Amino acid sequence: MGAGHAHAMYVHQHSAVHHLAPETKIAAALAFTIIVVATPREGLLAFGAYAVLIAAIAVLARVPALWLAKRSLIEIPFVATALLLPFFAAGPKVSVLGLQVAQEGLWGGWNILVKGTLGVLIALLLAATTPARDIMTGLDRLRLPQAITQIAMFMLRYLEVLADEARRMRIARMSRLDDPRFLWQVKGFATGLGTLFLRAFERGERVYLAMRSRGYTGRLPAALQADNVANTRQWMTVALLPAVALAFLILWGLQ
Amino acid sequence: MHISNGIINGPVSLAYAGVAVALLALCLNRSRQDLSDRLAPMAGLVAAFIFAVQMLNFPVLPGVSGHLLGGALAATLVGPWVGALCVSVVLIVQALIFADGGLSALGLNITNMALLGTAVGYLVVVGLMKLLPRSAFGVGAAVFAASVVSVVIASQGFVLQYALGGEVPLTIGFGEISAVMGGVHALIGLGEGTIAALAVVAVAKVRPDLVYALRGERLDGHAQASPKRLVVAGLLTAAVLAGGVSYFASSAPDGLDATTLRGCTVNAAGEITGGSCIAQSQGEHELSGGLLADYGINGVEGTTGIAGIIGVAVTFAVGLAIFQIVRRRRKARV
Repeated sequence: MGAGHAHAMYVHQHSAVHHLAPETKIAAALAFTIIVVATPREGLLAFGAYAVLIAAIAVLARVPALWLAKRSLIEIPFVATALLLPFFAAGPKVSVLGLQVAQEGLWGGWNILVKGTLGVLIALLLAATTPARDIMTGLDRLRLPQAITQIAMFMLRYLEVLADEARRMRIARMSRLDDPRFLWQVKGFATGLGTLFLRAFERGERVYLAMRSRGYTGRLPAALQADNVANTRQWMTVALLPAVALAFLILWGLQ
Repeated sequence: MHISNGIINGPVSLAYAGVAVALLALCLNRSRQDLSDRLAPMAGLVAAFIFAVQMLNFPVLPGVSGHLLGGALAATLVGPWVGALCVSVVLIVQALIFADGGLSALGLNITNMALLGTAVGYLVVVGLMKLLPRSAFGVGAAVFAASVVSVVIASQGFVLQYALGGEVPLTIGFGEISAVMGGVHALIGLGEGTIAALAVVAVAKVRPDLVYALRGERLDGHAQASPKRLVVAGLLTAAVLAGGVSYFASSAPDGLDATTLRGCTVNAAGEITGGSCIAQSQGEHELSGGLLADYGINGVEGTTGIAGIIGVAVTFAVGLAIFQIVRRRRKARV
């Protein structure tokens, strides 16, 4: 689990999108999300255009469509909300397939569905083309307080270590005839959590002392984050995405 | 549960993002005082712990598993400032790297789960620790109650956000949404509370100095947290919550109900007696004739709280029955 270790969401490719500086990608994804959320729900053409933009980026970044589809399943609880809304919304009713549903609710469900999906897809493309460490570097360059980016970096670095520790404790429990099914495991599970916290906290103290003895003063060396800084051309290239999306919003979304 | 894009409108999301940034700056400032230059590695490991906790699923019922939210747990173990900071970092990383929770809804999610949940959890723990004995049982009971309250309050934070900036007006009133959300999350909170309490007791027995809410004080004696007392305390908390807190829920028709009733004349019992309005087209709920309908016992004034307590008792009885049946079957198999 080294610093350059990519996270589970990263799709290893060498595309133009992968090679862009991380801060530009984060800014573009955020701007794009805001434009999508700001689009009135009746702007069907604009949403269609956004979907085409996302498909174009996915092709450019060589992220497989199946991967995107699988990962976007995270949105399922909100699809359920979207499907329920037509039955609980107020206002005039219309008949769809023999069911009485509220017109307002249909629009509301569509609104959540389309904005949620587009938001998840752009976030997935960001994660697929940018290693976790680069995302944190990008946030740092976007002037997020260094304390937060550093905490996040440590978190990502030790997440797998702690998850493995939890797995080991579970195996140790099972090999001592614990039966981890249903509610019987609650006590063991919870005590395990307590132990996991102790190990995490004590590891944090050890890591701090080790870093301290190597000259750590609260800031990470700047050299760690010096490569692949965005230049004007990269910013201009990436600005295309929100600019085009904004054009579609003005053209088709705000009628 | 992370809010995704498009559920709450833009202006409200933006306002909450502003609130979240301001409060996070405060948390960051106070965390530095707690940890100084140890902040990044220590808080990083604690955040990794919370993330790992959220990844560990445990079976609730066969086929259904749940995971912890960890707000109250974090607040008890590392204090409100570092706790809120760590949960926020977890949420930011989940939104950016795991596409969980909308980017535009980040402020909403941080306010509910990281700030509100942690702050409420911590206040409850500190308040109860003043009343309860400084024993393993006392800490456990305090953490249990804090988890339940913090999860329920966090869910009410979402209801408030929906009332402010929900994209769609609903036929069910906000009082009912709040009751439903609160009820569901109270059940989630019972599970969360049990596990958080046992985990904190485990830590407090070995390293009481690491439990922020104890502030390094040793536990009294060797009183064991007996499961029986924990169950009794849990039931009492749930009953107090359901019976007491539900009185605060307004029984007057809220804005939306009032709108649907406009144009009708209504008698003292709330029945429509004449005129024409939207509410007439409302269908009756199948269970509306039931004993607990509208959260009050039929024909008795001011019984919302009693209905709540009965609800808790029935839920507990059903849970116990399922548990016993499964246990018996398990024994039979062995």
